[in-house]
Amino acid sequence: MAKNTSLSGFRKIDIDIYNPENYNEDDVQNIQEDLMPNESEIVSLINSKRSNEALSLVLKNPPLNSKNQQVKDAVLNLVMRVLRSFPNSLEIDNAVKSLSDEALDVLMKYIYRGFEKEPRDSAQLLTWHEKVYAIGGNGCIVRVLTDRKRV
Amino acid sequence: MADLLNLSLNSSISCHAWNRDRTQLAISLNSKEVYIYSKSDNTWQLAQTLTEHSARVLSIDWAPQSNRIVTCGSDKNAYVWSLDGRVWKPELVVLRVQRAATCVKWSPNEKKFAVGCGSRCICVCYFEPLQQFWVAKHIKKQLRSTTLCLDWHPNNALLAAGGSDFKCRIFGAHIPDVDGPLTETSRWATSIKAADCIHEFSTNNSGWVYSCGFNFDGNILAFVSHDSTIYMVDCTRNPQELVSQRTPFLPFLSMKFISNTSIIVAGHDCVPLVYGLSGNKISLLEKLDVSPTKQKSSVATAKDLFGNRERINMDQSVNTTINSIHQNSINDVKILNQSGTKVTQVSTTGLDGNIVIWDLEALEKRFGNLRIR
Repeated sequence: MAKNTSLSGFRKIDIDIYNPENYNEDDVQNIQEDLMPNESEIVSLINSKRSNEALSLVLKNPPLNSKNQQVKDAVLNLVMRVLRSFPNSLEIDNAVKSLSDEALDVLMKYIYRGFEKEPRDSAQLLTWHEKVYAIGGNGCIVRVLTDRKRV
Repeated sequence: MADLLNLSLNSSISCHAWNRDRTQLAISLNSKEVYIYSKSDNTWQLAQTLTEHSARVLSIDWAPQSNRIVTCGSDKNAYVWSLDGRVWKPELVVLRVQRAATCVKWSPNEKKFAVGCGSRCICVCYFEPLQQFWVAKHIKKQLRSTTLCLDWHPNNALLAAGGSDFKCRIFGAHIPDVDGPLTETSRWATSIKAADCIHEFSTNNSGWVYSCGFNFDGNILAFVSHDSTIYMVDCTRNPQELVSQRTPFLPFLSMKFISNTSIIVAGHDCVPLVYGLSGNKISLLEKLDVSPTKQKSSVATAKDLFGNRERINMDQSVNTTINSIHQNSINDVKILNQSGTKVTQVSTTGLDGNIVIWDLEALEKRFGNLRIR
């Protein structure tokens, strides 16, 4: 074997920047997202046992365009707190039914993100997944997998 | 109601096209060849095999009036086939592209056609009588990725194109030398400049746009994408306003207008669906699920029982057939018959190698919600 095969540095070169016709994502603007769910408001809603309202509020302004991972993680933690605050599956059922199509997609994104980041909560997340799937169907999951704007 | 056309193909079908009186059918079985079947005495027979492409054929379109077929494929070429006596003869189209030609569509006046390809341009092709050649003009503006679908506006001047850059666009594709001066105006644009992008619509969830189309009067553009969503724009309301409807189904690969305000969509769910477009709402009219519900036999035969136990150590029998006519994704929907602006029959082909004829009039009688207007 030739000697230079052990060199693997070339694999890390980003060749796409040398291609004048490379694909630029124009959707992601460099707007720093200030639209972020208000944490104190949501916590107070949870504490006063108004989980339904907390859920619809926390799903309203997801930081989809944000490039700051810390912001996204903070919101994920907040969503997880809201999801944990539901006492039983009947409440979950009612909450999911009251959501709009768009909010349902966002919720599904958080559920999958939750599976990834907080596997200890999987049992609860699976309950949520079941309820969202019952309404959103396969399309809801496909949109989570397709979308490039992640939570 | 939904009949299977039996050609004993045993291979997935990538695309198909019908001639004007629907007595001939051109199909490609995911290969280099295009097969022309013709109908005689209610049986379909292979009439000719078109072998000119050197790689997979990706799209076929048959011009009804001038009786010419255009095919394109991943060999970066497109051919126009015309009937010479009883034999189809190819003419090469000079596309000048470096990537696969993915989709092709004759304009309604059949003087030109559009080819979408992977090298970020759309070729509008027409016959140049001086050179005796099919030549192409390129539309390059704003295209960022492969074009996956095309459709002409009835006025021959506007072209809709969707692609893997998650966008559907409307371009000006009027060629004065071929089409003559532009007479008709449309509400999509006050002035149409050649090769200009007139409108651009993004999908909500970055889904590839698989299929797009104008309705018969050209006022509504609809498209479907990989995010399982149906989109429409009605230029009589607002040519900028995109209406979308998220669906609970797997993504749709093909759509066609079956009247001015309803579409048929089909895709990975293996069953076509009809959606109605009214004002700013897209609503499901009916899922064309015509398969009889299978009676599950409660008593398994002893042989099955032991066979399954032995094979997979399970009591249930494993059945891979699904409860629909198509057994795999539907990737092409074509209009078969129409009266005025109402389509009465469509055909679908899919990865299972089946060609299914859907009789929409009979289906309307069967399904109460299905009212195609």
